[in-house]
Amino acid sequence: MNVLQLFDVTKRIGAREIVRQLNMSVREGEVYGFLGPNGAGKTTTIRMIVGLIRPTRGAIHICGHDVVEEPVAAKRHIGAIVENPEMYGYLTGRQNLLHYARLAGVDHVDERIRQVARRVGLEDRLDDKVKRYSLGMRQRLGVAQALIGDPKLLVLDEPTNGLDPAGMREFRELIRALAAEGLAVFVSSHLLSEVEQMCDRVAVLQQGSVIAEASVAELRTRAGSLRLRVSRQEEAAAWLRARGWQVESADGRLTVVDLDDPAAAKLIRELVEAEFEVYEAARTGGLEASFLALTGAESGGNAP
Amino acid sequence: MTLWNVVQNEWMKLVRRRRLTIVVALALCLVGMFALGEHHEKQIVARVATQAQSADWRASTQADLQAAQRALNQMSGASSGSVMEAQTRSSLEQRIQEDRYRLAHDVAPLAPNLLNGWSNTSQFVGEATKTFIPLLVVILVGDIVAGEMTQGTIKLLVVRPVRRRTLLVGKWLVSVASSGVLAFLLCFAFLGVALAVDGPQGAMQPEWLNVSVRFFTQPGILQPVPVALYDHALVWPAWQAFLLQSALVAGAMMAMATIAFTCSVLLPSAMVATSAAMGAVIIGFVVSAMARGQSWVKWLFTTHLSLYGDLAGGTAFTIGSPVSLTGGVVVLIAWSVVLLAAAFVRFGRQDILNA
Repeated sequence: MNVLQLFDVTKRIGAREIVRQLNMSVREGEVYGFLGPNGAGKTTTIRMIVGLIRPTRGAIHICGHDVVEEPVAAKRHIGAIVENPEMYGYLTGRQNLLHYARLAGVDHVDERIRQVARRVGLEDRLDDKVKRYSLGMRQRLGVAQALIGDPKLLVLDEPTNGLDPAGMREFRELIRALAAEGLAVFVSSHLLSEVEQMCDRVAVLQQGSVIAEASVAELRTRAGSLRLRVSRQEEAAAWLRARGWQVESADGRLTVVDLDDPAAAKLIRELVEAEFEVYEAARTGGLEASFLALTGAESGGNAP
Repeated sequence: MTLWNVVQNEWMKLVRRRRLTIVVALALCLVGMFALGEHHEKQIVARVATQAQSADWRASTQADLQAAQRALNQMSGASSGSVMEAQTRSSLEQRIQEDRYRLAHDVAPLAPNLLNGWSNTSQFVGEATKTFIPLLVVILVGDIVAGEMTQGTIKLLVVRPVRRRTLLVGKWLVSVASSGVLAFLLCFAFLGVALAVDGPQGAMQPEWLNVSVRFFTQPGILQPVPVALYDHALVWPAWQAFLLQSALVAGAMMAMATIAFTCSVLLPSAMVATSAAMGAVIIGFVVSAMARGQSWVKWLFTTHLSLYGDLAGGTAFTIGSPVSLTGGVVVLIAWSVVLLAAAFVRFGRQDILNA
């Protein structure tokens, strides 16, 4: 079932079309990545989905309810973090959650607050003022407030901005766990690696239009390159070239370009059978190559 | 139900913000200053020789009443319509009303070495409600929407399954209620210190309400001369008049809160919204004093922040044209309604882009 659907959504501000004719759908249990360079229109799209701004044309449905026509019914199913989750610093974590629970129409407020706090691992610090929270804790509180109304759709705008690698991993695991429970997650990012590790499907946005949509698995198997560290490097390069591969040899590494996953596996086996030692082999992701090919080199995701 | 939840939320935020502390601190400063002023004045009047309260004040009041009535009867024959005549007639009428009130309610005049804390508070509140209390209201609620825009917290508010309208109604109700309560408590804080310093006497002393002011133009005099008319005036005991005044101050501050609230919806940041509302209060105050006699001054909301002045005649003297309580209330309500409508239209449609 589609939890989120966008039909020909266009937003114009002044004379500029920020996003153009977006069509997307996110199913329950799916983590949907919304990938694009900064300024491509990701935040604008997210703000339309959560009802902060109105589409100029087109419609957005959440669980079948139009966000503009039936905002209350539609927003009942959304939990969101829009950019940094700004909280009320002068209130405690518990008071913040109480505040949002009241607005989300939660029935057993105290119990629900306990549940979401446990879920994000914030029980111990719930009665501290939010201004004393670290960035990571604020992020958790952000997730907690998004979950408080028991949503069917989680909308996250650049959720791992500013998190350290451990925090990022923890966050990804949480999102995957939530999706496994049936939540649909719509997550925007300019980080390719993040989307690759977190998402099932991905749409690539550039200059306001979706230029590609595919499953991450599919993108990953698309042609990319393979970097190798082998014995007798120059000899191996010549051997590969003779067999029709395009090879560059530099800095103690060979780079073989334009091959997909099965081809890469086959090539490595052949090298080993030809008695070259393979010390190291790394695919520079098919996804990254696809992404770069799609968006043009200069606007690529600056994956760490 | 949803609205009640919004109101609870807004109240929680209002009482926990640092702004409330600032407002309370400033209010306490002013209460302290007022107490000092009263103390100083008390020391001055204490030097006046104490006269034994004459036991037969009733007899002398009776005599004064008869004298005033006689004088008024003599005047009633010919009416030249001059300022002098109107002023004399008016002061006679006031004397008659006061004497009658004292005799009917058995209220002796206060001894000259005693201060009347009730009427001193009333005067002070009348001044404070023109600028100081409105500024406190602006500090308290002038960023109630703009502050959330600046902080970015508005996003997580608008994302909830609640109509924007409901959010705004809740915020407005809390602004208005808190400002009303603040004004009311402040009035009683002033009264409390005045009675503590001056003593409790004076609660029954007469105060005039419903005083109309007529402006006489005369050849050779540039500005029209105001004369307070007492023909329809009411004489109330000071404590009752003070209660009414407190209620009017609270009402006017609710209108002030509505205006500050609108600023906070229409203007982009907490800083700008608060400054604009403060600017409006101060500019309005200066303009109504400078443009004395101009008829449009009575359409400014700042003119009527002292609604009690509209009723007791003070406002008319200040702005140089006649006003009434009804007129003042209508002006405040009209400003509130129009601005509030603008706020709702704007917030309902606004794209929240930058918060």
